[in-house]
Amino acid sequence: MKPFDFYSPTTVDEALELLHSHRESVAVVAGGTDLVLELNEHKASPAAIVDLKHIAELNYIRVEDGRFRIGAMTTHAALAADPTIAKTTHLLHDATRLVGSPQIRNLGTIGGNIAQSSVAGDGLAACVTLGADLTLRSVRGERTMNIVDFLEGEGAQKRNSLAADELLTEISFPVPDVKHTATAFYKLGKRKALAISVIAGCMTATVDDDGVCTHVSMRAGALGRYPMHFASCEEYLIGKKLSYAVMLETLPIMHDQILEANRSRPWSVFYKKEGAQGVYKKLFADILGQLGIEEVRE
Amino acid sequence: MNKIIVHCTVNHKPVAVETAPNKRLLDMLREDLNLTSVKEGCGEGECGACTVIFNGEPVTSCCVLAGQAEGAEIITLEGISPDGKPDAVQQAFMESGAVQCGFCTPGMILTAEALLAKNPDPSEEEVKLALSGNLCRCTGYAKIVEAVLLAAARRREEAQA
Amino acid sequence: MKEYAVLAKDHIKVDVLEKVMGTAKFAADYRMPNMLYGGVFRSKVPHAIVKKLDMEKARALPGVACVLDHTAIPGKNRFGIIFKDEPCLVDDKVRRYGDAIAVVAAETPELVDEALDLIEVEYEELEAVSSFERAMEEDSPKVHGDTNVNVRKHLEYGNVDEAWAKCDVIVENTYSTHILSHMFIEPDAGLAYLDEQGIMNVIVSTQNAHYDRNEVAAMLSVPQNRVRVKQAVTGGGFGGKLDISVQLHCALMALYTKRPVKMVRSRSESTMVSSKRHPLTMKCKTGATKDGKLVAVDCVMTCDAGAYSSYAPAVIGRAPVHIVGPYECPNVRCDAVFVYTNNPMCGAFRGFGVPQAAVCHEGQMNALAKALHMSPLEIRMINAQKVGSVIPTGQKLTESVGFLDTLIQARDKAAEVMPEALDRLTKV
Repeated sequence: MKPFDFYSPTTVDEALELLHSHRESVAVVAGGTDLVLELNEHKASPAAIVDLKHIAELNYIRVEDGRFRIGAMTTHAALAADPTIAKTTHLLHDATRLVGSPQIRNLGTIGGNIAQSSVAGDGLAACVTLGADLTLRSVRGERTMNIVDFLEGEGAQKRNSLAADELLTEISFPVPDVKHTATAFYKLGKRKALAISVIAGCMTATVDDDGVCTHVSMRAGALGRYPMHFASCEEYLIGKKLSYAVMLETLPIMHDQILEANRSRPWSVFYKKEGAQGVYKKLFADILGQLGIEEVRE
Repeated sequence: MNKIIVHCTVNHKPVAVETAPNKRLLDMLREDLNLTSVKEGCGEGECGACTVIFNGEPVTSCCVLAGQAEGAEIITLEGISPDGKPDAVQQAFMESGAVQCGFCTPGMILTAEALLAKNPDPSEEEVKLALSGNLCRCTGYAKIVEAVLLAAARRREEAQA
Repeated sequence: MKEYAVLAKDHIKVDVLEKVMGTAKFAADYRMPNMLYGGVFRSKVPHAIVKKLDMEKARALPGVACVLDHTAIPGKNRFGIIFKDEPCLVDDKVRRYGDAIAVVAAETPELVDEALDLIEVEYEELEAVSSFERAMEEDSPKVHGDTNVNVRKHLEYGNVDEAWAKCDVIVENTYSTHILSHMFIEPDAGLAYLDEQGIMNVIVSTQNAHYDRNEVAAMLSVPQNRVRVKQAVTGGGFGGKLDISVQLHCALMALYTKRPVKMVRSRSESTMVSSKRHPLTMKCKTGATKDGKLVAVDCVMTCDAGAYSSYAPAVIGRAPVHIVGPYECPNVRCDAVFVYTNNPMCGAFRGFGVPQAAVCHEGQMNALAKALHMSPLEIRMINAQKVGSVIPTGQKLTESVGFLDTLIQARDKAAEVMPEALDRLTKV
């Protein structure tokens, strides 16, 4: 590890000052499960490091005005253990419950997962599918942006909108109304534990009292640089009465989209276009079960 | 060279460790405190050999910077039985044949200790899930799970008696 | 059943108390006063002549105790478990990605990294031989000497050519197994120091302390009684710690600096240069009578064994001998060729080639069963070796052949615990 100056602020304001004054060459360490490895392998060598572990005000899970508000330093383990998330948002519960290993879940944070914007970030894929809003703060002020816009931005690291002096402080999304909305996550990995996602399938679906789909979100991690958006599949389902048979009709559309998007990577696309369909069959069954529409047995 | 002092509790004793900021918690424990039971198997958070109990939870110390341990309570295998006698988990590992080469053993025992502190009566599935971040390349998992269940049973008996 | 003092009883292992208490000392756990840390400057190309090596900047870095290349070696610069073909430090040319070109000892691991970054090398790159096929072509570059053939073996038992006429069914298939890393959980590590008597002591994570001693003595050009190798508690090997890892580099630097030198490989360095399982390609023709009795097996076995020989001469001995598996077969032929390439070196790995051969003979047994409309279990029971069987080396098995008993007991156990799997084995 190359030498660096280490700062351990206890408030967000203090952290923002530090980021601002060291913005030429600074890295933020949250859980450390990515950055510390990069430092150790000389893949990153910032002049200064700002540690967020001691900022208590970044560690919370709250419900306010019908929205979850989650502090960026909340660990995967804390999210997986939260009873309200477990009851209302299976998607985030399962995504955080299945990340890495117990040790990694005790360290890794949701904010770190999103800020890192890794191809295979499960928490990232879940939050994108949930349509989360992110709060970014710097000494210059505060901005809130949708996570999709966040990923499209070109900030300091080129992988998202975060500027060098900016801190992701909060993730928020509406608490799903479990009567009408179901959310689900299914991870395809090489092993049960310690497996980076090969496909991280995410889905939310909302129906009206007649079981007609009014809103649906289908995105999957590890299929491209950012979670892949199956917009045509979503369009197909909107306005239709949800059933397993109807949902299966989206799979050929999904197949073609993955094939098209991954033409440059023929070695993985043959597997992934098939794998994704298996993943979504599981998600459809899970969603229909949660909404009490249909028990799918295969 | 730039130095930092990390104040934390290691194996129930408060310490102030003078160390370098560009060290991992793993290196600080091994090099500065000579706690060599903490092993480095992969340096990537994959194998669990460097597991320590950090504020009550098992974490891989190769993913933590030394400075991040400020104020933390850390337990390594050296702190499990300071009297030099094996505790229930250690005894069960010995008796069940849960140790082969022994390199994964410190991490395995600490993960098991953290589990049993929270859940004194885990199911086999719960033990397997808790140990899922600790790799054993000699492939002795069956015996390791057996050992954790044996230790849990003995502790419960002891608590009842 | 007879009572034994040790057999069939539970025992506590002799070394287990230290292991559960965390006091067992693995190689990386040793430290000595005045100790230096060592690291290796490795090639970033698979096949090349080193045109220029500039170590001056690294030597000038404060805190660096020595930077050495092959010219510093007092004795032999070739080692290897059977053939002495691997250099301690590259002299004539680089033969694989990761070959050791120079070594550095410094006061801290961080300084070692810094010094390694300061070493500059210029290569004249050569075509890399990266497959068995290319290695065997006449115009391919030669990795060592004037042929890429590392070892050949031929096994001939009975008369295979005449035997085909007696077969009612013949199956022919090609099987390829892949290269594999042991991934022992403790990366290679060791420590070397000269003691007061001038004896070079090496404490190391190894499976082969006695061989290590010969190699260190030869490299230092001292009699064997001037070298002592001690095996530290070793965190798994599975064959991967039979070859030299850090022993020679530690000893060389300890000799030059007169200080203890410790080396601990990272996971990636360990995986890069430790030996691998030999990937075998087995083209196999197997014939049997309509009753399912094996009549003949003919196999051509080829292998890209990588840049150095390591245990190839042992593996090429075992794999052909086991090409029929635990089955009786009166006519067997196996032609095996292992070649040098510029790929990672293959060596010992749990079974010395026998597990690879199993992929072939078990695949062939299933193929025969299918062709003969027999169950997989039945064809194995018909052909199982027993006491009195003669194996393809001509050896008669005179005692303790437990295969048939094992099959029967496994079948009964499967009936109890996994009936669906038993179905697959016992149904046609």
